Amino acid sequence: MAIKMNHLKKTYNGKAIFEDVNFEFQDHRIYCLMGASGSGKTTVLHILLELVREDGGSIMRPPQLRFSAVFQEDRLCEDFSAVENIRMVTGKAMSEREIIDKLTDILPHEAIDQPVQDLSGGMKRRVAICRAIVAKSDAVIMDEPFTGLDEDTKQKVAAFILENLKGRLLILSTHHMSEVKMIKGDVVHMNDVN
Amino acid sequence: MEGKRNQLIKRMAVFLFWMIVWYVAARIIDRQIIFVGPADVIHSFAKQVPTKAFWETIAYSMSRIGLGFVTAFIAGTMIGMAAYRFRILKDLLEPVIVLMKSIPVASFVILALIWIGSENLAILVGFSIVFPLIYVNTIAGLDNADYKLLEMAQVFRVKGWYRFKYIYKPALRPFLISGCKIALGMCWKSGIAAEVIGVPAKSIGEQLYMAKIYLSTADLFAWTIVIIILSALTEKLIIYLLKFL
Repeated sequence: MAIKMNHLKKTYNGKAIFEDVNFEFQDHRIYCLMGASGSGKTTVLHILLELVREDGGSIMRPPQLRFSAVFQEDRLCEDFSAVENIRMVTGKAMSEREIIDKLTDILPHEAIDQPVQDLSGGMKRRVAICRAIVAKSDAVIMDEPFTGLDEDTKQKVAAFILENLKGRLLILSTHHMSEVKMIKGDVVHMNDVN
Repeated sequence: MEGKRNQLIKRMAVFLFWMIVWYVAARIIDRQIIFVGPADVIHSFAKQVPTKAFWETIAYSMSRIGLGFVTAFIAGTMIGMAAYRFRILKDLLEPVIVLMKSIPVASFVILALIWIGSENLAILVGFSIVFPLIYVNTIAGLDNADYKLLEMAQVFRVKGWYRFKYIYKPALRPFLISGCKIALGMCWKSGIAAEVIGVPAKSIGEQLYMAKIYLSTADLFAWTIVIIILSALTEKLIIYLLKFL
């Protein structure tokens, strides 16, 4: 399984965000998408997730490819607990015990039953990461997943991601080389793919 | 605790103030056919509350108006959800909703009286008032669902029921609560107006009509207070129930 982007182009208000992006993401690999702010990292990820349409070029991926994702914003259901937020994407595939076990790997136990709106920014981020990791998917997309986490927590979360990735393709955007090292990914520069 | 006590004292003081204003106004007007004071109303209550007929009258009107509200609420939310999902249905219903919202209550009551008689008039009138409000609020609530959460649900392929429970329902709830608050008050007003026109036996409307015929202003005031209390109580009940939605 591979995802191929051929001559991908995206414009916004008549101005090109990127032109002629060519890249191939191979299965079982970890890619860290780097580039200056505004270089189009999030747009590339949104095109992969089929949330945004490309204005030119093509993208080839297996037809039934299933994604899970951490967005730039947490995109959690604020009225519900961390457990409920995970249950929304897993359905009955995971028991409550299994969900709690996964969450407590990266969250304090007392945080998992509270409505997400009462959690700190860093805790919300970890719930969003856990949701992407435990959801059934073939590939995981993460848009700056470590935003708002301190160094120790980043290490813990990176270890959690690697332990639970289970061979899936991971494409992650970041500004920091330290995060690339933590997640043991291959760097892809937006400038390189342009 | 202290704050609650102060608030209670404040409310009682406001209540007492308006009772005094009412009493003074009744004394100044001094014509029982036009305006009665609190003592006359209390006397009317004392006369009626212990009777079986009083409670039967309340039960009759409440059941009719309540049924109109509940059926309109169920139909409004269900059809509203269907119209949100299938925009063709929304377009199709648009003129009906406009008509229901703009038709004068009095015209509709008279038409409905011809169609179905007085017995179930309040049900139909209540329904016709509540349905468009709940329908419109349901669509507005669903439209208000966070598109970023919907995108997330699309990526994760979240199933229909879970989408409803976690994304649509929280968006819908405040719209339904505010819709119900307005609809319930209007349902009582229009339902009682329908009863006054149709005069079904053993209804609050009949009591108001009789009070008018016999120029019993104290009874008219007493039944009006009953309607206000029933409207406020049912509103509190509905809002309480909607919290479990």
